[in-house]
Amino acid sequence: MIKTIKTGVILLAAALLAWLLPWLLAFLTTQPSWRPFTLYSCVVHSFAHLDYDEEGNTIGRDAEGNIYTERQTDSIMPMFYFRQLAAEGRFPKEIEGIPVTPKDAERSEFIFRTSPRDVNRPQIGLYQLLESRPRRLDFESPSDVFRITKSGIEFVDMATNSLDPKKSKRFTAALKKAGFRFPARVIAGNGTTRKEYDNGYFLVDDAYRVFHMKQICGWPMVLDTKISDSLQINQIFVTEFSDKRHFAFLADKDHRFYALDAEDYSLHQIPIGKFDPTNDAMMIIGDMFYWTITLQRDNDERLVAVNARDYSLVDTFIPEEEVDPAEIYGRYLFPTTLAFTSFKDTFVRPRVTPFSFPALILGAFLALVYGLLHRHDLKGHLWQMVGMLILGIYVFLPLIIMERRA
Amino acid sequence: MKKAIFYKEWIKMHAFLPIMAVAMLGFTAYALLRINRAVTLKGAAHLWQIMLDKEVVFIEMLRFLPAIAGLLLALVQFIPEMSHKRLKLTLHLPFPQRAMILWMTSTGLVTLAALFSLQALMVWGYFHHLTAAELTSRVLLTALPWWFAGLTLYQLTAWICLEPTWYRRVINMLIATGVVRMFFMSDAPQSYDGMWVYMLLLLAGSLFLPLLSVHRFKQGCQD
Repeated sequence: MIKTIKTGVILLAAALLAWLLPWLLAFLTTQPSWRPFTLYSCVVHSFAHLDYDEEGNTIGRDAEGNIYTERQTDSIMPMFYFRQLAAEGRFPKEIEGIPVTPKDAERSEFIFRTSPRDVNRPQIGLYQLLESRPRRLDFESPSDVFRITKSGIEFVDMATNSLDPKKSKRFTAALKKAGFRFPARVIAGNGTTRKEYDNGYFLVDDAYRVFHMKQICGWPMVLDTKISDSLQINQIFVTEFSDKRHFAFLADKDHRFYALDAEDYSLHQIPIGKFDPTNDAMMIIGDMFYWTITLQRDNDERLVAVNARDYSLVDTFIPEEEVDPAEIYGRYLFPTTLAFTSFKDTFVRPRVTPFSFPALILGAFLALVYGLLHRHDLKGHLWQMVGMLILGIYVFLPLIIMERRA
Repeated sequence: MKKAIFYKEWIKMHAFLPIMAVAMLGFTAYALLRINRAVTLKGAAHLWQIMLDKEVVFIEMLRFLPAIAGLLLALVQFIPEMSHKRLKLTLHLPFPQRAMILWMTSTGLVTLAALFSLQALMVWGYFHHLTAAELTSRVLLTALPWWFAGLTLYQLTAWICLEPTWYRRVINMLIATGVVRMFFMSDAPQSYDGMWVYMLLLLAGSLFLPLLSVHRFKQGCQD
């Protein structure tokens, strides 16, 4: 029994080292990482990067290698720097033959962001449904929350912590009448009152059909969006941008990405390739001409420019991959690494990286050193040497430290 | 004999237990009263909204309390055993030695578990009355790793205290620090939802650690 406990302690120490040593290496070798701000230019029709010259002045650079001064950079990105251009009286009267005003630029601009960490987090299961047509101009915080169960929707009054049976019945009936099959697979909306207008909630029912639910003057408004259930929509991001052009962005089971038109609930696939919201981060900087979409998975980044008018692919750009020095050294030093947290979610749980075979060299060397130290009883230390070969420094250190004066 | 072991542990703990209970339950009552004050001033809906919009459960101030309780209780129980090597006498009692150590630590564990259960009951009772079941379970699931930390740290402290040499004691302390750190890696509510099995394994594994220290004590290891 004592032998088992001793082995347990060594393995526990090894696990702690597998967690802390790679962290320490990454901590000591951290280098500043910087990527220039990049946007698709509706003037030069290529990606343009905001950079700095040797003297630290802001410059612009396009894909052709042309260099622009700061003022010129404002001009090649008029839909992004419209305030600066308008203040200097330099905002163009038309772009691509379309008359534009700074007001148009302001109305059509939006920034959309999502990261795996926003998606991979524990869900409470309670949501706030705003009154879409508030009495006053500003939205008021609702006095209740809703949950969707296997048999219906329930509204709970927050002040009294009690069910509102009338409202629950009313909304359940409206959902059932629209053909909603309980429970819901996806419930998406923005419960915040800090917004210009309210698009309510989008719900995916048990049969993968997508419904739109709003509260208007206290009454339910439920519509079947007629989005094909074969797509199996699994993520919805309700947008509520100033231009009111879209209801939401959606992702399906095959990791395709769509924009949902606010006029007729038509679905437009955005040509960005695979996008998995649980793994990929996305940022869209959009205006009435082009959307610059930045996709990021781990260290890989990809930029896609999409024509905002017909959702066609315009250009793509893949920046040079940055190599993390800790990763290179780590491959030879550590057979595997253990982490408990991740930038991809808010959960704490053990995450072990795949075995690194180059680390076997160090493991073999350490096993040899250990063997030499115990050359008089090699047979009695065979298992320790095997452990050292596989787990390298993680087993070597605890054994050497704990065997001292044992 | 078991009764005698319990009685011996009771003698060591009896002065400290009321202080620990008052501190733990007092802090818990204070945390709940603070929430109640906010509810009185701004209404229950305000509390709900903050819990829904922000990553808070309102009892964050109790985070390290179970760990401190576990640490102190183990010190109270096992430092007297090691001073003047009284453990030698304990081990000479007519009772299996391993079972004796397990009974001793079980006494502390059960005491802590009872105290933590009382604390959980207070938190549950208050939130159950005030909020929906989803929010109540969010609060309790967020606090669960804190209670696991208290129980595990109790075992780890017993392991460190019973260790006869300072060299190994320091190593044990380093390992214990690493283990306890695992329970406090995130402030986000319910972030330990996928960690229960591992926390249980850690706690179960730590039950046997004091046996190793006692084994080394019996072997005559000393500085």
